[in-house]
Amino acid sequence: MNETIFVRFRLLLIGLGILTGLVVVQLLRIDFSGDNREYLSDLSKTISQSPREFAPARGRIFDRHGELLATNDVQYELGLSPPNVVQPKDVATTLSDLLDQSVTDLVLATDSDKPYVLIQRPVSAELGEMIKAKLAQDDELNLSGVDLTPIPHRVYPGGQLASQVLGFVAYNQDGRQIGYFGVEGFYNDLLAGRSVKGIERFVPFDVQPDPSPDQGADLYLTLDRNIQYLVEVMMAEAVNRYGAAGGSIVVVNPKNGEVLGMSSWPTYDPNNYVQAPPGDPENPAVSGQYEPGSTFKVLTMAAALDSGLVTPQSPFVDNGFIEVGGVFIRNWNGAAHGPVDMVGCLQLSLNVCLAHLSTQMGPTTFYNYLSTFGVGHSTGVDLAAEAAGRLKVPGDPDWFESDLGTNAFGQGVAVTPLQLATAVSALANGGAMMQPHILLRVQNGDKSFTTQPQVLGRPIKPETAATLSEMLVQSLEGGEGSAALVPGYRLAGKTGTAQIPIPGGYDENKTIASFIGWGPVDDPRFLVVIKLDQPSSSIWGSETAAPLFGDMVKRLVVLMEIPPDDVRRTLAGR
Amino acid sequence: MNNAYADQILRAFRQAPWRKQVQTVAVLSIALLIIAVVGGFYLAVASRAGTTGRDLQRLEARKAALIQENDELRAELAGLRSVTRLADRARELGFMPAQSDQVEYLSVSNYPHPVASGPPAQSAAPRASTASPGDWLAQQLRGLATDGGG
Repeated sequence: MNETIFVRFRLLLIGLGILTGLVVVQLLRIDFSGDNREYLSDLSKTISQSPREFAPARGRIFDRHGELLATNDVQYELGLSPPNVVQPKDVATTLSDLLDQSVTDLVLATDSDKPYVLIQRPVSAELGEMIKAKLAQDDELNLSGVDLTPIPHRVYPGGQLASQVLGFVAYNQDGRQIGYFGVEGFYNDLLAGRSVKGIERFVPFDVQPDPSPDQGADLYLTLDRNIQYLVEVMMAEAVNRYGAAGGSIVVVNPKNGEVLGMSSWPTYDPNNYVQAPPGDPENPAVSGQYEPGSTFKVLTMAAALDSGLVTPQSPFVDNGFIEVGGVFIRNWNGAAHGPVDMVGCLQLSLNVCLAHLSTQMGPTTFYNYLSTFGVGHSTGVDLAAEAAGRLKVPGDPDWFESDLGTNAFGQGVAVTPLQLATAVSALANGGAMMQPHILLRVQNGDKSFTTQPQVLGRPIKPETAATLSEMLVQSLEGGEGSAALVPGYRLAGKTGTAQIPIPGGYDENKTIASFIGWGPVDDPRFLVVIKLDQPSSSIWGSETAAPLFGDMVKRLVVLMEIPPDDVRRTLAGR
Repeated sequence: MNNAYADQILRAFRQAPWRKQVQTVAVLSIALLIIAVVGGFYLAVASRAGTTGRDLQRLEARKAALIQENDELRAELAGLRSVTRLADRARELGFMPAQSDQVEYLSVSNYPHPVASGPPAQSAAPRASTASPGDWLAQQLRGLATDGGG
């Protein structure tokens, strides 16, 4: 009896041993035979894991008070995995109904020998939800092989608000978000963070927490959302009212170089740049060069005062023309005004007087001053695509002696609106020209960096700045720019009407009307540059840009809580 | 005596294979038992790892969904708070943008009004107030409430 059991037991063990041996041999054969090994290894990896780039969310952009200017939401990427498509017809017809793509193209995509075919990126959130619903439907359609992946999407809640300052974000060929123009372009690396390459594992035994990429930093700008809105509304109204082809407005704080508002026309909606591409995606306030005309006279006068050539009371006899380098220069209205002082020169905006001053200073002194004011150099503002302007100097092949005269009243020289604002801010800020900047603060997790104001240069002495400010107040109060005045506030400013250069000379009919001004003069809080391109209701800056400045300041002082001068002095005295 | 001794030895020899078999079976049984115990442990650990991995996958997916939902809500909120919308809504309600001559300034003690200052390049930095008018109002109201309570 016992022996029988042992025999059976032995047979069972032998049988199990043989079976196990066969399994092991078979496994080894599968594992180590050349073709199978590679194939199975690839298959296992394909099924159980895939390489993936873990990208952080792009940093958000806020105004100086923490109001959102740019944030993220979700859109989708739609693709096909042809090896997984079971019913090409179902896939093609369903997607064709939802997308603007032909059935033939989609059927071809399902036939591709590639593992993944991109169909559309980005797909809007609404459309993505519709596709998601179709995929979730348990009906007779077989949509296997359709891949719908959420991807981050940039949103600008204000629509057109500050579009040229912000720029926009688009996808490159690899599907990565890249910032273009404005803050998005300039600070792309900071906003984008740093993605991490890792492996996404699908088998629960192998799963590991997703790697943490370096988050994109949040940026707080110097812009004030309300001032920006005011600037844009005023710009749109001005284009309408004066029939201008375009224009720019820049508002800065002359004491620290902070850009409070900046807008140009025409503008665009960065949410919709694909459907409605901007004519000029750059920011004309920093990239658009123009001949500034009479607003430039303040720099010439500053140089003349600072070099000791003249004082406000210095006399000048205006006989209506001056010859410089063989070219006759006349006043804007062709008239001769007789004896005037330097305040009168600014008040009447006399080209002849300013050309006289530049020739008296001589090219070396005059151009040295313009150079220290930053004319012809980038300001270094932290915005993409800044232009440097143009200042021809003696020795340049295209400089002529007559340029010494015409440059004095802003002809033959090119600046950007921000460049002019920066240069003139030296007058408002006791001779110190501040570095213009748009970034107020960077916040990355619990780390924070705040931008400190920096002096860009001191082109003139504090006394010169004070003297010229007073001269500009007087010239504004009694001159052609009086439409810029705001009751209760002492403001300094200068109008400008510049001819537009065309091949062979200047356009006879079209002008650029402009105004630059600041206030309150005893404690400047804002400096505004207004530039209107080709206004048709009037070509003069005094009749277009100057009243626009006045209208704007009336609302600006309310937004900035700046009481009238007498109230402010009373409060300061307590 | 000799016969009895010889029988004993013969019996022992007869039983020897049976003992050997018992020993072999015992060793194999112990080995199998050990393998079963180890296998059991392995299965338990693998099962826990699998469950945890699945939980992790679920939590990662939930986290992604919450981040997505958060982003969407934040964008929606920002859209509702956009200055264009607020300005349009204010106009609908009959408000107009205030002009400088429509504002009456009152002298209120302790109001954190901006202080006149010279250029930073020449004088000390201006005394900046961090309190917004809203903060100031709340502060004053709190003060009133405290005074009234006394």
